Amino acid sequence: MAGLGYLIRRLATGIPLILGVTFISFLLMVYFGPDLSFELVGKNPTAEQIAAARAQLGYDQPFWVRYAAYLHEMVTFDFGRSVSTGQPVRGLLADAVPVSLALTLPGFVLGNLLGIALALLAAWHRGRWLDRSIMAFSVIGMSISFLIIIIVFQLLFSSRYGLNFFPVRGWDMSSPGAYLYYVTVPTLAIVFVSLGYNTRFYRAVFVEEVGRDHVRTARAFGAGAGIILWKYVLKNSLIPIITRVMFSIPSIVIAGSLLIESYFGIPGAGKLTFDAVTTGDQPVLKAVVSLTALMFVVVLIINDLLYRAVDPRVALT
Amino acid sequence: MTAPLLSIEDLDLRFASDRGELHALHGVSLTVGEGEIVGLVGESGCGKSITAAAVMGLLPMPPARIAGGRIVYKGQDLLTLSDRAMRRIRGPEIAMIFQEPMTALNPVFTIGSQMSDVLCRHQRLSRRAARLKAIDWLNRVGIADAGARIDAFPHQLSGGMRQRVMIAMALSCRPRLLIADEPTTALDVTIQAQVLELMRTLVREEGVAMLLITHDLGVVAETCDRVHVMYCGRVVEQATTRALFAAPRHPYTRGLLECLPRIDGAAIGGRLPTIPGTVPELSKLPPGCAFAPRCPQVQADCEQAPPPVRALQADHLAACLHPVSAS
Repeated sequence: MAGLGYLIRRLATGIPLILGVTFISFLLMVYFGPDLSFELVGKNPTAEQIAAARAQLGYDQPFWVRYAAYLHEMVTFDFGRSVSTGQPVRGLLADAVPVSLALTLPGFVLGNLLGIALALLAAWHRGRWLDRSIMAFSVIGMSISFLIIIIVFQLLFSSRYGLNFFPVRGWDMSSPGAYLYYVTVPTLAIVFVSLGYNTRFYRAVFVEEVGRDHVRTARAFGAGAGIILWKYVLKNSLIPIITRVMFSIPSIVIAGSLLIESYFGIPGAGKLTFDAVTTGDQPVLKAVVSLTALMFVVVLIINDLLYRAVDPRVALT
Repeated sequence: MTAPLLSIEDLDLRFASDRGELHALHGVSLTVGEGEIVGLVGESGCGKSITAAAVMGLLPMPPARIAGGRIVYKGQDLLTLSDRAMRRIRGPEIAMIFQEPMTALNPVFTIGSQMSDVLCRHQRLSRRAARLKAIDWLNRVGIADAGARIDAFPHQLSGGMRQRVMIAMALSCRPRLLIADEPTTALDVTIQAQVLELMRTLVREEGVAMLLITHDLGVVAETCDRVHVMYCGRVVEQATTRALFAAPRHPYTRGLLECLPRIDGAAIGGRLPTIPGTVPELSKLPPGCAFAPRCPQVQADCEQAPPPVRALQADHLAACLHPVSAS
């Protein structure tokens, strides 16, 4: 079983990656993060009160002991309770991650599909007016700040200055109708922001592929633009497409979209992470960091397996 | 005389570039009759591949621009056809084989899938029938164990086998004309001979006309009925292979032939002659005959204007004011 051996080897090489990431992040949290003991003690505390607070937070332990405890937490995936809210970290993540996923996934998928379609068109008509206009709109889209887009879209769709139909704040995915009601405007904003970047990236990939000899062969054998683009060019370009999509997945799951979540008041993982960073909520941060590292390892493996699936020349070693 | 299958008439082709418009073809004329094997010979950059690409409608326009001339195939001017109509020409009427067998096939599809795509497109076969036909053609081009090899990816085949696959793919469309652009240049010498022999046999068996583009006069001598010699975007000499090799009339052709090692010649043990000088750049062509700066018998009038193509004998044309004598 070459495949199984490969999988085990890859997982083993993932361990140093996870250790490295968690070690550096933990170092930063401990020595450069906020010190929460000042929030636990009152005004003018005695030295004993401070020491008690530090002991309660575990600050009195040596760094290596704390890092070992972190590793233990990671293996059991039990990071205790959030310092700020007192809720179990696992529950917080279990609530926030699905929300972020549901919030950003439609925009991510649509943004990529539309980007690929526009990029194919642009690459086929390279140098002609269609290509030039698509690229011009991409640059315009890329140049507008995400903040402005969110605000403008809220004005357009959710205020009395515009459609005034969709909500400005809140989240509900108890029913498909409610989900659609809350997800539409954020999705439009995400698509608008990502489309320019996606189109530019994919166009570069497709332009290179369209110039290859095998595309000329296909044309010389009477293939039309449709089959050349959707079959030959797309399949040959799958490796960069897969790479881009796969590497976006950890950030979609963990980070969500902080700006969207804060502007629309949506309780997602982005907001959870941001709050943990600003308040120095170490249990939550530790969970987020390890989850991200773990996901990158898994994504890298899936990425390589997908390479093998789409390109027969790739060998798994 | 019946009308030829393909006749390129006075084709004038230019490329837009940073340094202004480059004049790639200066009125190229060329004919290929039914079932005839015609060679198009010249050094790299003389415009022979561009001529082929123009026939297939494969030139990117822009930057390419056809400024004049016609490409008449079976009585219709290919340059006036719509893209849709042109797609029905490519494959079932005119098929093409390329120089680079390494990259001309699609790396992520099996050769069977690529061959079947072409067969399904042009002959409206079912996937199953197309596969059987593809296996049949792989057998005909001499690929052993074709039933298994059909599911191979291009990178699993050698260069010679890939070129055989290209030939099978091209001929399976049952074209009337096969354009082969340096089909053996990228192959090992021993494989070259085999592939050339295979092409010649199949083309004769199928009664397909072939336009063979090459820089190798040896290949021409072995394969072609008639030859066109190109230099700097012009056809400078045209004759039957026999006549051209026996008595070249254009000094350029003679120069090329003298560069060939001969088994009986005095050159054995000595140095092979070369044509002095280099091919002028497209943007800096001389006003007169493009070969004048390198020509051993250049005269004053050669540098005035490009010499017209003249018939020196029946079926022997040359663009030279002072042709080499026929004796």
